[in-house]
Amino acid sequence: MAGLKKANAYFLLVLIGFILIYPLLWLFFGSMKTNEEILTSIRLFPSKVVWEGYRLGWKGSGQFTFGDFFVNTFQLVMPTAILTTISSFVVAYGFARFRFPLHRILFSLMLSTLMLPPTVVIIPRYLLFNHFGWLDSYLPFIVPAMLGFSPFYIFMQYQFLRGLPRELDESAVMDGCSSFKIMTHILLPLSKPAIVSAAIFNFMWAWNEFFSVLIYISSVSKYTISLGLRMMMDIDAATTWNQIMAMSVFGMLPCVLFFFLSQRYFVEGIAKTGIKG
Amino acid sequence: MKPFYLRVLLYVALITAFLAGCASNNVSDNKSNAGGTTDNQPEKVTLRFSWWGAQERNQATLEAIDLYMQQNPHVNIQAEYMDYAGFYEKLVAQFAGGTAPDVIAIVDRWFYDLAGKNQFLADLGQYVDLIDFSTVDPDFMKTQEYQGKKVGFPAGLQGAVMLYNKDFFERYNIPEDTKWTWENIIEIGKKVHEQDSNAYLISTDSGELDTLLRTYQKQLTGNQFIQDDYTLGFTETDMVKMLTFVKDLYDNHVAEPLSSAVLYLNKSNENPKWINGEMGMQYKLVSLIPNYQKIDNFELGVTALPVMEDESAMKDPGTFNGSTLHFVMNAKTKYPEESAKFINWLVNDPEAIKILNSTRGVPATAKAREILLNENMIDPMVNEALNISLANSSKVLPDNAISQNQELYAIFLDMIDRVGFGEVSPEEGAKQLIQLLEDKLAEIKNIEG
Amino acid sequence: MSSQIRGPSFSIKRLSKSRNNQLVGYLYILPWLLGFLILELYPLGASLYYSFTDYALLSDPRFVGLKNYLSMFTKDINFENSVVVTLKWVIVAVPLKLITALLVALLLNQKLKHMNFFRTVYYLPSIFAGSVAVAILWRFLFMREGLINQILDVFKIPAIDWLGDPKLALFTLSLINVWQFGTSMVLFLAGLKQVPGELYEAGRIDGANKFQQFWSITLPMLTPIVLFNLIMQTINAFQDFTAPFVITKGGPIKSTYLFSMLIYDNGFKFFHMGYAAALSWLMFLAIIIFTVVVFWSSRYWVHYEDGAK
Repeated sequence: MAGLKKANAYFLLVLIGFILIYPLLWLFFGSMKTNEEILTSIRLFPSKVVWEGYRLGWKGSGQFTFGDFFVNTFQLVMPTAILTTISSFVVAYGFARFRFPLHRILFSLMLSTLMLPPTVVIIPRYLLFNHFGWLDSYLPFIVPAMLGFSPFYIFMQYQFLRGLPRELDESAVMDGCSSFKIMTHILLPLSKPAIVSAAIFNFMWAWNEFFSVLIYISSVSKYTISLGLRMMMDIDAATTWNQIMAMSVFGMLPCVLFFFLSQRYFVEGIAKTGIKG
Repeated sequence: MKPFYLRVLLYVALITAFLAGCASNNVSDNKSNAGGTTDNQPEKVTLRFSWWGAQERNQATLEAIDLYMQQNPHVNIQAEYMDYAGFYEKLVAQFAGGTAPDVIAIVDRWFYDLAGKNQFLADLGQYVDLIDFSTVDPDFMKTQEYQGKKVGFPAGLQGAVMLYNKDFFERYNIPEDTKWTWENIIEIGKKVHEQDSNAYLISTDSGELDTLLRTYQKQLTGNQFIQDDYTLGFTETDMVKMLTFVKDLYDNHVAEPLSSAVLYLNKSNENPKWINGEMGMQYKLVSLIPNYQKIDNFELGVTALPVMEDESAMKDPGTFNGSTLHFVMNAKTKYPEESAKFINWLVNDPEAIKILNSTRGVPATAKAREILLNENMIDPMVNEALNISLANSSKVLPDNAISQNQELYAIFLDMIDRVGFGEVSPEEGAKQLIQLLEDKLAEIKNIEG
Repeated sequence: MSSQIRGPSFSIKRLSKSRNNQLVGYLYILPWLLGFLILELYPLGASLYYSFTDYALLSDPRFVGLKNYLSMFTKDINFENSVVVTLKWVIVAVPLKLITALLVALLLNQKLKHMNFFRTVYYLPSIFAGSVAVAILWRFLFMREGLINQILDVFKIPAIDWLGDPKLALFTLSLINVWQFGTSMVLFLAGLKQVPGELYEAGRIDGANKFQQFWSITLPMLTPIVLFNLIMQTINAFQDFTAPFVITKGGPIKSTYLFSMLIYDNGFKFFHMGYAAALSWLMFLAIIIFTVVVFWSSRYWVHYEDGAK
């Protein structure tokens, strides 16, 4: 009986997993098919593997290839992810371990910005960035990242830090450590799961970001993959699905890679921080 | 505590250094290279040139830009191009923030916002020593001015025709020289679909229906869609006729159902039904014909837009003619003379003309057309289309600004959709539409004060 | 809101330092504070001001009082539709997503091998949240000649206009949201793992069947996570933009015209910045009200193991 139940469970799991992943699989294999085959056959595997989609799609806008878009996306995302992680950890430390006046109000404020629709603030921000001369660069993303811009990651680290006992801090204090040292030498090493997952989350979110890049970036030379894909889509969709698919796969690869490489930290990270809410 | 503050300082210093590094990295990284320099050369200049387009136009333009920079080593042109969707929104944001490019390709319906309500565009009339306008037919040029000023140089001619699939016509025994009317479209379309339930005479969607209907409206009334005094250029009866045409199109399966056409809004060259030859003809702007010639499944032909059955009742031929777009100059550019020279080169230089060819439509200057004709570089079909379009040209041109208002356009499109989906009858729809348009017009008038 | 902030469980007096030490906290949150003031508070204030003006972007703002807010309800023909569409979107997508996430989490919570592998696989769609690539993929799947219809064709089922039929389009798009249930699932999983085994033991001894166990033990223990997921996913759903924008552009006949698109069009297409600002403030208020109401109601259905509220 137990064996049958187990088999049932496995069957369901595999079925659901297959249905979920099928679109992605199709995208992956579609990128290696010819355009005609994509539009006429439902076969998952290509009848003949062709790389035409990648070869032609790579050309991108003609002046700038998807290689350029890829590099651009990295230039945007890496500093953003790293800086957000660092600054959100520092800020979370401030909120989690110190009780300064107005601490509750400020914390609530920080959390409430989570509910702020980006559209409410995008115009004044655009004008502000223009005033600083940061438009058509990646600064509108990098500077806010430095300023602990993402309440989600602050909250995430905050919850995690709350889970680390204060005794650790206290014994360090008695050893004469400054608060900074406590943060870097004691709490930081213990927070690796939360930090790594914050960094990865942020990387993937920034990688896929579309709306704000659309608003702030005007030169094709600075296009990220999101904008490049949309440009391809708008210009020449039906006759070049294999190219679009190929470039989409190419654009999704880093996310997938990062995700698999950091599996351990990642899922643990969300789980540990989410619960305490 | 001391080491702690030191660390904070270090942190801050690192950030500043990083920022400085970032800022310098983001200073122009365009890939075009300026030529060599000598001390006697004129001051080095960077011009930003922005346009929208598809691959062909983009590549041709880039080639032209490279040539210009070779010939003018002191000028560095930074190309900024993208797809049409979103182009205007970005441009307006740039003007608002003071970061607009120096030379821009724009559509004349944007004159209202950019040159009328605001003074963002330079009066090119002040640079006639640098820009030769004489190459454009003076009468035509008059229609291209805005409030008496030469705000832009027309880059190409635009017109409208019905583009049809020759094989399709043969298959269903439709004579190529059929004179299309609003009535026989429905008749013949109905017969075609009865013969073959996969076939549709007309390929269309609300976007194209809007322009087609405006042709009809001009034929019915001889007015602008919205008159200069912000009253409607048509009566309820007129609108009922127009919306009934829409309803008939879908009721009789003359056009494929909106629910499948809607994904190809303004991009019917990607609609598999068209590519596979299951649709007969469509309304097409002349400059877009090359996009369709790339599809090699069947041969194409062009013919005039539909007219009213009773031609004597027609108040105006109705067909749209004008320019595809204009090259304009930012009023606040740091290099007005260089910008003017560049614009002039784009439209008047023989080399540029040959490189750019008809990617922005058949050129508006007679000189350019001559050069291209001599080299057999003008597509004969495009030329034929232009001639057909001109022969049936509306006399109520150019379209005034208010008729091209985006919000009114959206309202009209929505109503066409609703009638097409069968949500509302033409009579009810016409009533509602008029109410909505008049409300919106009142609002607009109010805001404009 | 305040139920989320629990003071430190140790007495501060234990950290026998003076108040000064606590003020150091300000230094640490300084980056956020700066960012908040310049990049959130100022723009917030500015956009609140704009919401009471007519601001055509190309000309200066002109004060008009409450006109924008009144126009929403009286003059904007798309307002009511957008509100309804957005509500439909949220009411369909969020519960569907949470229920799917919960069911899958239950499935994964068994002592079977390779659970980690499955968990990874189920999370995969969610790493592409908001991505243009997914929007493109969805369009390909559901367009008339797309994969889904091709599969239906094999079973001789006639093609369906998933994205072109006004009655279906919204639902088709919301499937993207549901497909990406990974985050909620992982949280539910973690929560399930935290339910003490003894409770189930006791339940079995009392003769409770699987369903009763789920209803009386599992579900109540999961309520804090349900609360979290409900709020987070609803807030996200209210702000969805990429998919309708890229795929259907709000159509057909505005059946997928989410509120975020209404704001974008008014702000960036028609350049009624003041009106767009007012609309976004309305959305903000709606989100706040929703969150407050859910939190207030939580005392009636959320069960905290440590007795806290």
